[in-house]
Amino acid sequence: MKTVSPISLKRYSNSSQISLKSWADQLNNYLAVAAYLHSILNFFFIFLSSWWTEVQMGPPDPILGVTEAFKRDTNPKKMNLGVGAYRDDQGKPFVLSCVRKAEAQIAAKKLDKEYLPIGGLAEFSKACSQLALGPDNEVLKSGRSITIQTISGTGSLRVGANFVSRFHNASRDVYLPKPSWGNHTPIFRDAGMQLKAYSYYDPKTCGFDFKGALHDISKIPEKSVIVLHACAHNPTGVDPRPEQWKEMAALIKKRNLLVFFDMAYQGFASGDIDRDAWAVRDFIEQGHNILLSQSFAKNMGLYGERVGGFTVVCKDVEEAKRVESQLKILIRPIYSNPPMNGARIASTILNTPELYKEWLVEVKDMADRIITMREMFVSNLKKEGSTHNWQHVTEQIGMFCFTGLKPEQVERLIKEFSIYMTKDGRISVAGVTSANVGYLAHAIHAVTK
Amino acid sequence: YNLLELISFLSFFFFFLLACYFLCFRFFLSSWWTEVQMGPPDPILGVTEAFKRDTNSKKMNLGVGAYRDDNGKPYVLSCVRKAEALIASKMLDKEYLPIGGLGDFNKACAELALGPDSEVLKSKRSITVQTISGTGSLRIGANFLSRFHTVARDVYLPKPSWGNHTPIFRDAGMQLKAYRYYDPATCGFDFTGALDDVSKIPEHSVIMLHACAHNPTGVDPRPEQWKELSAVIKKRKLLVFFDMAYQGFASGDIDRDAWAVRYFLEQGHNVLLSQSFAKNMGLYGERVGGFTVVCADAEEAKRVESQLKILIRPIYSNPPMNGARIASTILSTPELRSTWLEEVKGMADRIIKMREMLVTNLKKEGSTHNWQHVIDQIGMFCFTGLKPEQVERLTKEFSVYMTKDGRISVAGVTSGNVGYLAHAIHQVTK
Repeated sequence: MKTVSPISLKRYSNSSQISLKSWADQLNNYLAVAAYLHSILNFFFIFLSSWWTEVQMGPPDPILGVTEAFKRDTNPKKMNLGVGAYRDDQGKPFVLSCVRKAEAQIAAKKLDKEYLPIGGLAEFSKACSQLALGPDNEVLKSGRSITIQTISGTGSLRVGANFVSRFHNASRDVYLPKPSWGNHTPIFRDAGMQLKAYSYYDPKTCGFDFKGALHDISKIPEKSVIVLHACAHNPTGVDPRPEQWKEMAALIKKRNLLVFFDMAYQGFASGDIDRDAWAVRDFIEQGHNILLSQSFAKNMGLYGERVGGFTVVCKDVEEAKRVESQLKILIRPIYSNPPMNGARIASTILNTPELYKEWLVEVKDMADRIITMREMFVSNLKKEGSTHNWQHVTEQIGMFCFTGLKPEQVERLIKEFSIYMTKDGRISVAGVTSANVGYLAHAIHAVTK
Repeated sequence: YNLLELISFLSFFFFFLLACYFLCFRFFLSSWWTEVQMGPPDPILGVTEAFKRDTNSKKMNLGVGAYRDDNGKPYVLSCVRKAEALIASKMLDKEYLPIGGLGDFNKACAELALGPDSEVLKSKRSITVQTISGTGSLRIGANFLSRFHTVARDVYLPKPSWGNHTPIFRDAGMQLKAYRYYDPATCGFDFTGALDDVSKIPEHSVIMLHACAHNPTGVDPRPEQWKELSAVIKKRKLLVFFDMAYQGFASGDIDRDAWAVRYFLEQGHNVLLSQSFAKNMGLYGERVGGFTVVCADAEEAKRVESQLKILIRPIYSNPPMNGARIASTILSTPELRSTWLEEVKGMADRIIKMREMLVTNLKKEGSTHNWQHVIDQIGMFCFTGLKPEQVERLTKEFSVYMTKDGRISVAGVTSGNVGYLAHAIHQVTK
């Protein structure tokens, strides 16, 4: 702020000069004060225009928090077992070769970038549903289902949640297994549904609480929505056996529940896409008209491209058309139409025989490496001298493993060994390599002996 | 003999009951969606559907809101192709982006809108997240308002506005209201009507402004009018939400098109801003956009950011990478950026030229109507002023397709078909 002292005016000897200069200086003075006041007012106004004063700092994402802490750690032996993304045996992200080939094919075609339809790329949606249901499925032959492209698994679940919220007026309740993927809860909650749970994981056995599940399910009010993980349950890795699925299917039918399958790991769990889709297909055969979410994030490594599908199995073609029209009305004011790139890649792979074959081999390799790591992990623990029963590590399936470790033990693993995982003791087996599995076993033995 | 009959009768009856049971049970079980009505078809898509079915070789699709070159073909910008080649050569992985998207993209996106010397950016008092193009951006904003702007539920849209604005805000839980905007008498801006309505909007309501190239009318306020609007809006203490889907595409100059947004910021409005790269980079199906909240200070921006992430995570977890990588590469690679600026100017210039040619041809046809508005309006769309019956005739008699409100996408006009269009319009308006 510029100030002009009246005393400085006296330096000018000539009276007319004084008067002109003094006016100028006075004007300057006033302008300076005005500017000062203006900036104060502006500041005040900005304070007034604080639209978001009441907005609290939200809690950080629990899983991202793990990765953040991992990044800050300087220990060269550090391991990130929080990340839900596949890593190769060097611990590096893995882009499938069939994906690279598909990308090259697509690039060569010099396609345009025009909007996809609201429901997405038709060839993708068709291949997506065929992958899940099997190409000879009666549902697909009769045309009594609708599959739309979505923004990976999360986008699919949210579209489903919104659809159920808007059109499934018979019930507001969604039953999740206990535990379930953390994001299921806010997805259904933000869509306006109420969250409930059924027993699923047995911490005593680190396995499936079959009796508990049946018991809880038998009490679920009719027409409630029940979410089932099709394969490779997240976060536990614990899946029902086929005979157990059959009993659940019968009970769920008896309770007249609306089944919502979340299949994020088809092919990635056992290495066999048909085996991993068995539960979904069996439920359909048993007459359940299910909702189904699919993701290609893991099984095609298309994570950031956001490729997924949402399917509604209906009574007949006419109902499928009505449902389709309403799905479009729902989607249009969320994101208008889905991103094209990932869907083109997935569609190319699924619809090109050589690429499809190559993909099946690569997805089996990923699954096999996970299974191998599980086995090496257990044999290393035994070598370390651990007397605990680690059977569950090899019985669980998919990317994740519920170790059974307690929060204090997890804490020690982080602090003493720089091994990062979520507090519930879940590790991403994808983060284990033949090079670090020994260290991991050593560390886990140290905190559990 | 009787026993055999009885047994066979009973067994048939038993199987008959079993069959009924399964049929009924299956029927009963299968019908979750009996009450789901067939929804109305999308009005704009309906136009394209009908266009596709038409066999007239002279047919014109003026419904589509996507740029076409002078041969009527979709246009992929050369800077986009170059960026794609650059990206492909890097053999990048496909790991998840952060919830808020690609950091480099967000930074460049904000700079494009606000200008690189923006005080807001220097003080870090804004947060920009990558979104699923313009729609995704608006919906995140709408959800954010619904959750955190608890002082008001009302969102004021200009009359008319983009059709999708209404369900976006409504599905997010807000109430829709309107302020006067388009004057059908002049096919121009109803400035007095707008000021009058805006001056009556209850304090703290949300007001939606189209930053440039108003959709669907093509009618934009002049700078002096923007200044008055800004003053009234400030006086009414309204929360400004800018929708900028056409930066660069309107006048051909990215700074000129962003002028209103930057002016409002200078005037102290802490705005919400949605940006789309669908049109100005031709990235339509890649779904590239940004959502910005201008806050009081850096600390508030951090709080807002955390809540945006909590909101986004249960919608789609994290945004698609491909388009953001392309846009980011273009914006931050000097040669690509200058190529882009040329190409976007090229697109805007072709639109402007088509507007001029349409009017010239209408005059040549002998039309005595005042078609000045076609040239005065800006951007992809033009509110012709045609009535529904005239639109109907254009569709039926001339196979010229547009939305019922008389809106045409000038992008669908080429030097090859502008004469036919002028002829057709003259026929239905003389």
